[in-house]
Formats: sequence, structure tokens, C-alpha cells
Amino acid sequence: MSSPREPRPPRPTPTPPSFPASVSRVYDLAFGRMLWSRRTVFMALVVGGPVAVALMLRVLVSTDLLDAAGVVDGRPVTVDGPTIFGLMVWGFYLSFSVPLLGVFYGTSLIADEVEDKTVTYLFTRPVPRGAVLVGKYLAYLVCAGLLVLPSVMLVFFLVTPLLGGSIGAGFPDLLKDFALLAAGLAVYGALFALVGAVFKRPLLTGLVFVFGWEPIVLVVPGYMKRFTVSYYLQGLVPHALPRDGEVTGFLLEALRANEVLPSAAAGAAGLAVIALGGLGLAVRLVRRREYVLEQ
Amino acid sequence: MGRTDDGMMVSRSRRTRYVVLASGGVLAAGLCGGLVAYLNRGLPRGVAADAPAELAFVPANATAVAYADMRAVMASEFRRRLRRIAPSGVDREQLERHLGLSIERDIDRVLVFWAPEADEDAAAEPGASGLALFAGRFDPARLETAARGGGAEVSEENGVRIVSRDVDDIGSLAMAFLQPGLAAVGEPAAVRRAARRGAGETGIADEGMRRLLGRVDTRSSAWAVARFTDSGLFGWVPDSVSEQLPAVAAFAVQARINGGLGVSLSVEGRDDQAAQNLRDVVRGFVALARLQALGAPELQAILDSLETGGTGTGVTLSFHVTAEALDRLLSMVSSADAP
Repeated sequence: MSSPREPRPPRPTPTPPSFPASVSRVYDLAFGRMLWSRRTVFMALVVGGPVAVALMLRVLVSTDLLDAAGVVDGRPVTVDGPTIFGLMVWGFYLSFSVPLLGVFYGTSLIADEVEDKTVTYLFTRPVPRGAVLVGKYLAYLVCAGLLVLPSVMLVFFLVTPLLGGSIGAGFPDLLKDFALLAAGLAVYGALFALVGAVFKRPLLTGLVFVFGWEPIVLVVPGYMKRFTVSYYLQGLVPHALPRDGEVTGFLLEALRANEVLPSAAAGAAGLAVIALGGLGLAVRLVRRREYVLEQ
Repeated sequence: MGRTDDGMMVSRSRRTRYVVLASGGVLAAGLCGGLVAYLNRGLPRGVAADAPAELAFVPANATAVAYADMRAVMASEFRRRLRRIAPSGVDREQLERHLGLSIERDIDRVLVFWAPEADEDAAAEPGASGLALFAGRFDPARLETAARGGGAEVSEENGVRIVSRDVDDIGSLAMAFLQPGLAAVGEPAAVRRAARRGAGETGIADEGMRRLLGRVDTRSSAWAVARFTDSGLFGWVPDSVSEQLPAVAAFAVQARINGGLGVSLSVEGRDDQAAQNLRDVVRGFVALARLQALGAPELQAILDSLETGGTGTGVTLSFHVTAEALDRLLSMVSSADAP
């Protein structure tokens, strides 16, 4: 005779994963989706532009169609490969591609989930809401880094050896540029993650900020420029650009004339405050906010 | 992403891995290549590509190097304009008759350097280390014959014939052909050292000097770089002069000469504060010059082109004299000289 079946003990409730483990899982999920989104294809084209320009420069110089020496404002000016590379990093990447990546990806971290009405599925998983945002933010950083940094590397090797430049001598500048670009991606991403968490139309807000507010305020005298990311990034730019060369001198003089150059320490501190503050506020908002999906 | 039963997801996961590997590969290869190039870097940018070949004869410890592209200078419109009011004092016909040498046609480049004595040199043969190298087309036999006729002595060092003689007011002077078409002129000890040393393989070793050379556009008509050492600019500048320049660690100056003259000067201060002081001094002088030039339009154009700048320890100054401004200046000078 078998004894009457004893009631099965209740299954222990699985312990929810820790915050870092949750971040890691969200990152795994988000990275692949982010990498194969149409947004990434567009951004790949954007960061491919400078590579095409670098290739064109290389061809022009090797066929002697481009001369590095000239006269600007009656002064002899010589441009070498490292100077061109420094200007390309400043013009193509720091002023354009990095903010654009930040806007496109940062604003979409939460807004896309809301728009696609998939935010419910994410927030009903046993992971902290904040981990969802942080995991997706890390996925953005890696995804954007995989787009931008190889592009910069290709431009460096194509442009730096031109017109008497040396790859070896310019290598420390490349490392500084990488650090600067990583900082730019982190700061713009965090800021626009916050914008994405706050605004209903975050992409438009972000584009207005990057291509409207920042360029205008930077040239207006006064303290308003302190409310831009470019101001703090430009504080670090002279430390990444090659120090020699007339063109760099012109550029730095132009920046100084507009009083837009904070010290390197002030620039780094400003960027850190924006990145940590932006991400922290975004996490706090996402944790507390009740998302009502439109039917 | 880990759903192995979904073919599409597995395919996407694999593609993601390929993209990550490709991107990471480009980065890793670039970083490795850049690091190797950095560790094996040669002369800095701007010098390696088309530096004058005479640089190979400059000793590794040189603290000052100056160069002039004589052909470009001699053929320039700038020189022609200058000669109209200031003919050279050299009797060119006599020089050509005696030595078979035309300064205008036969000398292509001149490079002058100064190096403090290396310990081994000082022990073997104390003396100055400055030397002028002339590259061009020479007739060594004729030059030697002319020198011997003037009482010069001929010796040999490392297979190089050295002609030396005492010259009034100057002291001993020596000349040697370090290689065909390259004459070295200087004090006998310096010429003998150059003959012993030959064309060095390592070039200038000092990092500061290499950086200075990197600032020079080697297509400039003339340039000079110098670094202040512990014992002053070249080791022989009087203390009274050196003491007036405590803030300057090094400088590079270059000029492009064609119809006009473009000059660019880059000074490296001892530190940020010293450089800031220098910038202030330079700006002060420029402001003063602008005030002085208010009634002189011929100077106004030059001062308008004058630009000062620099960041950190760097101070830059550049100006351009156009052909028209030069004409006005020269006419001003010639009218002032007229009785």
C-alpha cells in the first residue's frame, strides 16, 4: 500500500537576478537588435563618409593633385597629414557623427520600446527597470564604438602618413582622440537617454539640441554655452589635436576668440557630471514613471 | 538571442559575432600597427619625406640647425628686388675667375649646424663644433689649388682631404669635400670631426630637436631650429645674453621666399607661465609697432599680416611681406639713403 501522496512543497520563488546580472542580460538582448537596426545602417553610412574623404585625399596627394602648402590671409600655411587627421576628428566625428549617434541611439533606448508598445514586456520581467536602461545604454556604447572607432582608425592610417606625416609620431594623438570620442559617445548617449525618458518626441528634441542649440549658443558670448556638451568637449580638443601647425593655431585662436575653451580639467569634470547626471536621472525617471501605452 | 531553435536568430547571432570580430579586428590591428610604428618612429613628421640630405652629416647631439635653399633664394623675385637697392658686396666675377665658383649658379643648398662637444671629441681634439655644409657643383682641384696658392695646408682625415689656412680676423679655417658635391667649411677641428664621423645613420638623437625639426616645412626656402641647452643656446652665447632669454627653451623659424616673404616663428617656452609671458611681450611689441606704423602705410600692410598665437608652452608669430609692400619698403629705404 502506498502512502497517500503528500502535497508537493511549494516551489521556491526564483531569486531575481542582481542588478549587474540584469544589466548583462538586457545588454545581450539589446546589442544584437541595435546592431541590425536600420538606424545602424544609416549611421554606418555616416561614419563611412570620412573614410571615403580620407581615401580621396590619399589619391589626390599620391597623384600630386593636392599640395599642402599655401597662403591664408597672406601667411604661409602648411598642412600635414596629422593636422588633417586632427581636423577631421574634430569636424567629422566630434562635431557631427558622435552627437548624431547619441541622438539616434540615446533617445531610442526607452522611446522605441514605448512606441513599439514592447515596454510592458520588458518591465514585467524580473529585472529592475533601471537595469533595462543601463543595459541598453551599454549596448549603445558598444554598438556606437564598433561603428566609430574602426572608421577613425581607417582615417588615421589613410591620412596621417600624407604630406610628411608619421604614423608613429601621430599614434599618441590617435589614443587621445579615441578617449575623446568615447567620452563624447558616453556623454551624448547619457544626455539623450534622459531626453528619451522625459520627452514624447525625443528625436526631434535631440536634433534641435545638437544642430540648433549647441552651434548657436557656442558663438554667442556669455555663460549659456556652459549648457552644451560641445563646450566641455572642446576644452579637451586642443589636447587631442596635433599641437604643431598653423591650421591648428587658427582653429584654437578661433575657439579662444569666442571664449569657448574651458580648461581640460573643467572640460573633463563637466562631461563626467553630464554623463553621470544624465544617466542617473534617466534611470530614476524610468523607475518611477508609469508608462501608459496608447491603444 | 540564445534561441537555438530559431534559425533566423542563430543566423543573426552569428552575423553579430562576425561584425564584432571584424570591427574589433580592425581596431586591434590598427592599435598594434600604430604601437609598432610609435616604438620604431624615425624622424618626426615633416622631416622624413623630403628633408635635405645634408642632415645626415649633422651630429646626433646638435642643438642648432639652419638651412637655406640657395637656388630658390637666388632665383626668387624677392632677391632680385632686394639687389636693385642693395647689391652684394662680393665681387662675383673675381670669385668665378679664381675659384670657378658662381654663388648664384653653383651652390644649391647651405646647411649650418652647431653641436656641443661630445666628451670623446673634446678629449681627442677640443674645439668648436659648428660647421657649414654647401651642396652644389664644385671643382675641388681648382679650389684646393687656389687655397694652396694662398698658403693653405693640406692634410687627410679618414680618406678626406682637408685644406686649412689661417685667415685674418677669423682664425683658422678649413674646407673639405665630405662627398662629391658637398663641401664642409668651418674650424679645422670641426671639419676633421665631420670627416671622421661621415654621414651618420642615426641622425639627430635629441627628442626636442627632432620635434623642432618636425615643425619645419622642408619646402621652406630657409629655416632654422635651435634648442637652449643647460649651457645656453649653443654653448657659447654669452651669459649676459642667455640671461635675457630664460623663458625660451627652443625656437623654430622658417621663411618662404618668392615674390614676397613669409616668415613663421615658433618659440617653445620653458613652461606654460613663461610662454604666457612671452606671448604677452610679443603682443605688446606688436601693439606698439602698430601704433608706430600709423603714419607709414608701407609698414601697415606688414603689420596687418602679423599674427601671434600659441597654446601651452608654444608661442607663434608669423607675418607676410607682399611684393607690393616690399617695393614700398625698398623705395622708402632707398629714398632715405639718397643724399
